[in-house]
Amino acid sequence: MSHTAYVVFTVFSQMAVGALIAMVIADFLAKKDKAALKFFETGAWVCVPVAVISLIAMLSHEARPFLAMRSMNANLATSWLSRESLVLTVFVVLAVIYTVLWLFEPEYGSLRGIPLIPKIAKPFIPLRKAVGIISLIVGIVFLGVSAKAYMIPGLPSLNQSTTPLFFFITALLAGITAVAAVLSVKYMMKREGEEPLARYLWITVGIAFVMVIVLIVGLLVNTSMLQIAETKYASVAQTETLTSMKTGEYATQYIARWVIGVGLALVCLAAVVLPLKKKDLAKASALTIALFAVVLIGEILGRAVFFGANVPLGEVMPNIEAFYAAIGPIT
Amino acid sequence: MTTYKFLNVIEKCIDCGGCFAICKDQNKVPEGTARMRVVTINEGKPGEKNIPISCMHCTDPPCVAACPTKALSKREDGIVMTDKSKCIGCGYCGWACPFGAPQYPHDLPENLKKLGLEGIMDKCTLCVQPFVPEEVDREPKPRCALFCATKARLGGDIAEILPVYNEAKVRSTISYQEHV
Amino acid sequence: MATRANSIGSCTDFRMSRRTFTKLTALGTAAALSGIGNVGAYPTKFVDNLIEPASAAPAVPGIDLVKSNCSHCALGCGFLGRVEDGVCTGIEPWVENPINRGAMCSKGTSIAEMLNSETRLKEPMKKVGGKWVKISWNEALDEIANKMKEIKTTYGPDSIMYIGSAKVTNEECYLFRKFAAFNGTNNVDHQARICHSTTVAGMANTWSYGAMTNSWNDMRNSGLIFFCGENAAESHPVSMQHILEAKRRGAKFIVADPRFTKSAALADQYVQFRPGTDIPLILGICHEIIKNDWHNKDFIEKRTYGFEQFKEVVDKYPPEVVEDITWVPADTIRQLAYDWAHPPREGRPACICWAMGATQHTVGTNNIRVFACLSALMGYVGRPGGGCNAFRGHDNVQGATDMCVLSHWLPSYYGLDEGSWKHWIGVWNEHAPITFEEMKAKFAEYNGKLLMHVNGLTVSRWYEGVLDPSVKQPNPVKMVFVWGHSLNSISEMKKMKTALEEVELLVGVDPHATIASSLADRPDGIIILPASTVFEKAGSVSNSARQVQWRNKLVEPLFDSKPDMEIMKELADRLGFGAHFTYDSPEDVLREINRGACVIMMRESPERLKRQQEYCCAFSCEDCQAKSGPVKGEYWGLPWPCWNDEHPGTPLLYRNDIPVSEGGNEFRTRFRGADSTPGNPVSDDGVSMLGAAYGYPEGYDEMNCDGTPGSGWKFELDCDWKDVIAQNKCPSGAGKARFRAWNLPDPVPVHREPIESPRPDLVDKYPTYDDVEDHYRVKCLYKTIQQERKNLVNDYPLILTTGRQVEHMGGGAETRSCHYLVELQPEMYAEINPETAMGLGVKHWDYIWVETLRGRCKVRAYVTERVNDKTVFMPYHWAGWFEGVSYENRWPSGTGELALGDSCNIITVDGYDRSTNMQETKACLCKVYPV
Repeated sequence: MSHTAYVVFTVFSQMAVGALIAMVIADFLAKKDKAALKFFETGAWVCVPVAVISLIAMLSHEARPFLAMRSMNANLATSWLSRESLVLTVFVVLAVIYTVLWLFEPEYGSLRGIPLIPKIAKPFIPLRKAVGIISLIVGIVFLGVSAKAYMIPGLPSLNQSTTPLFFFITALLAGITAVAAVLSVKYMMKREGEEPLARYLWITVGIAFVMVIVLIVGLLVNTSMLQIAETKYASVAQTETLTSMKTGEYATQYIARWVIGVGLALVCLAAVVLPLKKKDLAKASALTIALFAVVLIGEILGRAVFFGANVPLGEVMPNIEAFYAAIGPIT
Repeated sequence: MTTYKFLNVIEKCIDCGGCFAICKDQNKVPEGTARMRVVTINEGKPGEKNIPISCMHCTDPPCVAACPTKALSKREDGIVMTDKSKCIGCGYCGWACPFGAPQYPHDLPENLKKLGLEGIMDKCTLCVQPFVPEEVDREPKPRCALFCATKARLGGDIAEILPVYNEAKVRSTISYQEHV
Repeated sequence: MATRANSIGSCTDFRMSRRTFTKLTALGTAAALSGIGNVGAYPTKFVDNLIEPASAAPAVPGIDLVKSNCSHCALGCGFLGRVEDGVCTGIEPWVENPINRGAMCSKGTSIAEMLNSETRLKEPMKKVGGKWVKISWNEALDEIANKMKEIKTTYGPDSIMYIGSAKVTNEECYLFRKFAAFNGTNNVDHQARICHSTTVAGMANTWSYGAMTNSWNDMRNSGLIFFCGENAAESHPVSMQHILEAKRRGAKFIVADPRFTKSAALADQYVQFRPGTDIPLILGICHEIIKNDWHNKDFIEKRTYGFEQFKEVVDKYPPEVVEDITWVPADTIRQLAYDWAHPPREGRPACICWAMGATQHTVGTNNIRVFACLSALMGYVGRPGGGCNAFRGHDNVQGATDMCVLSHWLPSYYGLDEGSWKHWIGVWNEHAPITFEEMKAKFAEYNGKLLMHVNGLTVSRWYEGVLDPSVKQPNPVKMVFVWGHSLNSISEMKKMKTALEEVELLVGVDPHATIASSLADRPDGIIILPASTVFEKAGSVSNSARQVQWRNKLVEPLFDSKPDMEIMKELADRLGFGAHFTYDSPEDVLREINRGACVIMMRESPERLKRQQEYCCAFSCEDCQAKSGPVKGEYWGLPWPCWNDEHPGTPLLYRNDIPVSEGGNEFRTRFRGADSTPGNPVSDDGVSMLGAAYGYPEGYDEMNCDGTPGSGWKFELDCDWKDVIAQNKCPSGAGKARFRAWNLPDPVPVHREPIESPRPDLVDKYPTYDDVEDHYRVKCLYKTIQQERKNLVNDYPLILTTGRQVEHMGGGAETRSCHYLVELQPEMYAEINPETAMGLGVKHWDYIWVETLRGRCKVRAYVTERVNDKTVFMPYHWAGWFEGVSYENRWPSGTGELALGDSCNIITVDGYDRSTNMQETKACLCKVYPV
């Protein structure tokens, strides 16, 4: 697969998980307030389309996408990629069900006009929060399994504990700000839902701010972790990655990632907080959209560096240690 | 029990390309991809070494563990084989392999594209299966080793080649490494 | 040990289980396993890997495995062609061939692909009105023959140049020389001229024969292997198998080369020296050996001549002087001298190995002479592991040289004097009637001399024969055959291009169109004929070690190609002497060669060669001798001299601690000053040239068949020499090797700077030769141009040297048409040092111009530390661009090579060896700048 495909696949699948988490939060935040639920409902549009984009990205770059759809789960015994594929499938199914329970809700769902489905969905609506929790858990499990797929000895630069951390950050940052941006757009178009939006934005800002701080720590820890390696050849690969990030091919993107994804994100966060305090939701919502844009660009850039600057062991000068290790025990 | 392996006495490899060419010829590997290549490190300087690289048919192959569709498997005689009909070209085995042995040929000629081999993983099979898979497996006979100009590349039953490898690695007690 | 007690059977029904090989390979340095009792002979212990020998594989119906030998370099590696339904579908390893034991390099393993290459020339073509047109064989041959008749009548027979090939069989080489003779000229030559002509001159003038003294396998026995101008890892890859085995056994491997080559990377010691300074380097080593009294006085006194005069010259080259000339520190020279005189592996000699790095200079002959002197100083010649190992180039250049497709010899190194002509006419007359008078009548005269006895034009300067009106023959050259020879391995390509455009007819004969079809920018006057490769016919081939192997035909001629022998016959028919070129089989031609090739006594009969092939498993790879079976005692390839049908061959020349009947040999009493008489050869200063011999400490002169002194041994066709050999005598005499070759321009080798030298001060101190008015019929400048260019280094500051790539061979038409090899080496480049590159602002793989006084080439920059900051290296296998402009549109459509590039021989220097006219491609001055 080309790097672009991996970037889109991981960022968007993680964003989908985050979007689902955002909707679960919204569901709990609204409690029984129908007006709030109606407002938040639009956010349910984010998760599934984004997940579908990520699936298309993954499949479109396989040599045999249709076979992949059927057979990627075949090696659950040893392959993290297989496991990722299975968990993702389960997550997407759950996300679809969860999304249906929002969009086809008979009273405020956008698609309540479509015949038959709302009637089938109606008895399950009260279970929506529970479905949400289960989906959320599966989504988080997916984040972990997806990270494990890249944490293999053949990819020393990705075989770090910051990898799952970055995936988690992407999910929360991109996913929650995505839903917040959609809701902001809704507010700016219809000028309704001030109160739920305000509450939601505060939560968004809070989570986003914490995530950005965690991101800063994660990025710094990552560069120092890359300097430590268990084997000589892993060290060479990691050094090449670091060089590429700092002064090489990916230096520009890495710096842009910091400037946009961290710096501008903090600026936007502050810019959202100020009008939000003054209850100027028009401005706050506009800046929330900016926040999402900046965060998404930052995450995409960051993931591009993640995959691009990575040097697999197979590309490092011939791996003589592994060659001797591969001989294995002689009988 | 036969266990097939490759061992390289890299001090003898002269980068003549014989292994590369006979592998291509025997297995009809198309242009742009290679199952076998020689990598030179420290070119032009003392310490220059040539290392023949192909699938090493590892005892515990990371590629077999990694493959999501079970297209890769290790035979009883140790050869790691690819079932091209199951491969989806995801590239994961290429990342898992510490030698970068798996290749994903692109821009294949039309006749090979029609067979659905574009992007499907190809690697050394000890000459058991050529690039276009055949119904019946051939007898393992690593021609890269048989044709190696200096007998640097050894291939075959590990019980047979390991003593040869050990003997080849032993140098007499006189040692003269000097450079002007 | 054996799986079964075999009576000796042929290798094809000889099966060995994998278990047996396990036991064989697992044994340590135990005694040899071969020839134990009556059990089937196994190969002597193979140290390295072996799985089942291919011939032990169960026969598969419909698939033949046919024994043959590679067509690239002069190792002659064996392989099995896999032939299914008349098509060669691939190759298998021929594990029992003792020379290579199955091994081959990238060129060898690509044989099947090259044989079936789609870009081969498929039918005869003619260029008419600027376009290529297919014509029939008859049309083509008629036109060629008619043109030949016309040229001979109008201008004389010397106006046709016959450029022949080192890549055809021995039989075809012999017939080609005969063809030129029957066409009335000595203007016939081939690749050896530009490859190892200086080796032959240098070695022959020192030892008496001009060939590699030992063999590829014999190097395993060496205590020290010294490369001087040799890059075997790229030019003779499989030879490294034996060299590295010697190294593993404790030998020291030293590489002296201007570049840190792939061979140097595997060496114990690398010595960097300035291109063109081989002589002072070796003389410096000799200086130290003599000073320390390490030289072999016994050998020198008993079997050499001229040591005192040699010592006088050597005294002028102490290490400090040599250091200034060569870049090599004085201490290193002292250390090299010690090592040469005291090789590791107690009791084993050292050997010196070389190829173009040493031969392609104005002083090439002297280079080789000084190598031989270095060996003679320690008496290393004639001993296992010692000797002078000339690594020859093309697969059959040794054979073509032996058959003398050369302008100064007749087959088997007979001269052009009347006696030699009469010898061969006697042989040819046995096949079809011809008399000396008839032959004489075919030749022209010039300046009162019959050109039958005058050296002809050489391949290195044949174009001067077209362009220079003062050429020493009645008329310039008007027609040229480029018969199996590449044109981009010859220097002065600009002049050659002009010559190709000026001749009335250019005929190219080759499996590929090559640049014979495309280099000349002319609308017509070119005919190209598709020749079959060596795999589409049977015939013998001689490798560098004088081993003759028989190639079986793999497939019938592909496309509409014809074997060269057939083409010659067709032309001969039309020219009126077809009977002389009509033979029932190539075996018949070899039998004729066996009859007449007495100087080298090439009596390897087709039957014996084929029998050896059948019993190949009996031959040990340690010394290439068969240890059992009907071939017991024979040496692989029956290396010449092979005196009769019982003689085992002579694997080590000049080895006289064993009798001739077992392969022993003496220095020929070839060197005879004016006062010599039969039985008493003396030098030009009256010293006896008889040397100590096996069983005869006083030596003896060459002899006639009845044993009386005389040169009859070269001319008596029916003598089998069994009586003489039974007395332990060598028919060619027992003489002395020469430190001083009185007949050469420099009797003792001295240093002379290359034509274009980076050291003006050394040009004054060690100038080149005086200009020569008639050097193989054309004028050759030395001193004039060296003086003119004395300060050239100010404008052209870098030394340009050329050489090989392992993936390509010769002119490259064949290898650059092979997909695998083009993948490995797709483009032409020049190696430049990182310092040089930085100074020019050039990055790796940028395009650069490399320019000399002759012109410039546009190539990729290969930035590497292989070369130092004073040197630039270019491989010579490339063609298709001329000074940066592609001429691919001039090839017939579909026949152009897959990879094209500029030719370095456009820009190499116009300098030539003083004795042989070898071109000086290894040292000239250039400058480099970005495009």
